[in-house]
Amino acid sequence: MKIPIVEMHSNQAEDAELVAKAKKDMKYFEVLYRKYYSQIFKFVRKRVANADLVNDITSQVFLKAMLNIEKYKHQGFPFSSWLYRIALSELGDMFRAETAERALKVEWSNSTDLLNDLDESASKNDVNQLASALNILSEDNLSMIEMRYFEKVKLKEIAVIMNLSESNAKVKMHRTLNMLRKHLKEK
Amino acid sequence: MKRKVIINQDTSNVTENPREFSELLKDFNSLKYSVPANGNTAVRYHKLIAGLAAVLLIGFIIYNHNSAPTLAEENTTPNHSEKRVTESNIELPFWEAKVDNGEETILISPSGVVIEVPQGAFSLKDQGLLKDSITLKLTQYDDALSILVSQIPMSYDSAGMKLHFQSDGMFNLTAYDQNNNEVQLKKDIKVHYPQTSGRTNSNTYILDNNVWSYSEHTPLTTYAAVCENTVYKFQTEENAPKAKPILNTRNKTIADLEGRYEDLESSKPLEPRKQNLANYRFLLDVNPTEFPELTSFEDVIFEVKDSRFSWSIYEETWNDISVSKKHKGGRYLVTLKNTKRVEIFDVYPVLGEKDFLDAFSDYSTEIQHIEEEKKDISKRIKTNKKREQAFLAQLTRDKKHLEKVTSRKRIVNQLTANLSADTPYRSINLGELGVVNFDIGIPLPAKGIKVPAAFFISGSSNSVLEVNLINLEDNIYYNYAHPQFKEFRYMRGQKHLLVSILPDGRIAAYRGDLSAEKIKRGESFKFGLEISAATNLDDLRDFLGLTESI
Repeated sequence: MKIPIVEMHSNQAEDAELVAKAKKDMKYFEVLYRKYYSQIFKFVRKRVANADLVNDITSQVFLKAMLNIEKYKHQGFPFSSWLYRIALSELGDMFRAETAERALKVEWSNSTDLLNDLDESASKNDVNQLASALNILSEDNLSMIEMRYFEKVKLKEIAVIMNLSESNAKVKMHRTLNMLRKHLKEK
Repeated sequence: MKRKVIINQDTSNVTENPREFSELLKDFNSLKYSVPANGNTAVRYHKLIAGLAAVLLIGFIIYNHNSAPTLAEENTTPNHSEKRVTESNIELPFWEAKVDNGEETILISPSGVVIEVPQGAFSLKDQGLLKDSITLKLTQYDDALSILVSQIPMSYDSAGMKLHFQSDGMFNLTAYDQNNNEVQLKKDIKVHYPQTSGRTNSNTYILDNNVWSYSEHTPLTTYAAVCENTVYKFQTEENAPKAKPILNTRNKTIADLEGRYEDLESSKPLEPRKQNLANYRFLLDVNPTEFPELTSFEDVIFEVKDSRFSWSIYEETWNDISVSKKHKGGRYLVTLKNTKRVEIFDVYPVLGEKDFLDAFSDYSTEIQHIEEEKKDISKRIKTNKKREQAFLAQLTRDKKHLEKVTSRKRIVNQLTANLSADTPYRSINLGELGVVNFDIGIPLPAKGIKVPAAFFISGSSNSVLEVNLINLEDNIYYNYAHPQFKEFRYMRGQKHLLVSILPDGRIAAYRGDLSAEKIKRGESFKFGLEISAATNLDDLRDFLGLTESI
């Protein structure tokens, strides 16, 4: 499923106005909370294996957004990309501290593009190997692959979410694919 | 990598259950005034006023138990101007090595840290190149206890959250000239640092000594396999045994593929030919084992295309008639013998009209399969050869690097260094000397047993306002400073220490039972901390009951 970042572009002005108001009075953040909860919830749900934690983590993402709203500056990107960035950071911290378990969904239906880019013959047997190869990646690199190949997010948007320049995101993606290729060849 | 991954677990049935926004707002209001806006600012502020005011204030607060707030008196208003950094009395071990500033040098510490120093790397501030020998001093902080007593800042602000560093190692590099003046870097030096924690996913931070804040640094490499090529390529003994089996395997794979290609070529079936009624033809029995390519020819008809053959030869009696292959191209020889003479003719196997059509169809399919397999094998041979060439090129580059290193650089301490190809290394370029930190930022534990606690100097009623909870297994300590905290989180089943650094630099620690049986959920605790007289790390470890480095 695609993260609907593109759909939000038309609402950027409206979001920017809400953020400006929320900076003065946090009650205005409620509109943003209601508007984006579902998106962030789905994003978290895909990555967290502990069903009981998904709603808590999603709330925590919004709480952190509220605590840091002063630092948010609208730079032409959707507000949701800032929320995704906070979500990735929160999830990364939780996985490292082992307070949550990482879910990784690798299925034949969503892996063919990745296998093709890895120059691997796309056979169904490769999916298990691919899952094991993805497991060796750092959280950042894994998230990048998931967004690009499983959620079909454009690289430009990934760069915004991961706080990278587009060229850095390309380099990082290239290196990650090389890492996966190497691992798959060694198998 | 420290991360538990569950593959292909279906979580799609988890439904949305958002918290009421009013609850979120309540949490926001409570946290907004209890989380430091910027931890580094607090440290910087301390650096500015620390000298007099903080020492007087802290000394007063810590040792005047009558004025020290109790747990019940705690409030949630932060006052970070009281944040302090106390020097501990503990001397930490370090390693020093002399470097000739006019020479390119590789230093290898006994612990396996590799430092590549280019020629003319050092200079005095605002002065030219130093020609003297330089002493490079390396202090390593590879466990939470040594990091704590070093009192180098280990928490930082991340988007408004105070994060504590979970360390994968930290070091401080300083350098001095012969007059003991601290020198600076004029050129970048390269440091290869062993990652003994087993993790390779932490970030790299450099501490700015002027403002005492960390900035993230991009390492050159972070993974073991890459580092083997950078750090160990001047250790040929390490490379050679690994390279040989890889090359042997590649060679065997290529040889197998080429063999299979030749087999396919030779097993190609003979292209069926349709009989020409104008030529002489005859039927012969052939042994299918001897002529496998003729197995598709039932009742093989041989056609003669030789002007010497005539009707009279048909009529003649032959005692022995045999067939043999002449050469490629589907030509055979028929040898006719009788008591008078021997005649040999070129012949071709041919088929009648109907048989020819069937056989040609089978032949076309078979050839198509063979060509496809040959194409695939050719591709694989090409890929394998390309990989082999790349591998050989890498070996050549490694060899050249080795020659360059050994001929131009002075390698210090190579023989006694604790180098291991199994240890993952992280390689970084340093433009300034100072503290480098390999860490993951972790928030205060959100899980575990909540322990409401107060800390006192054992045998007195003096309260201690700042305590560090060291998690020995995760190599991290959490700094709990009064009055921001009301309790700490205690992870069941993990080993912990409670350690405080007093204003006079002595270490105080709780030496009682911190096991899960002792620390129970819901109870309030008052911990009596004992003061250690230790002045070095070994004595401190003895005091804490740690027989080995944590």
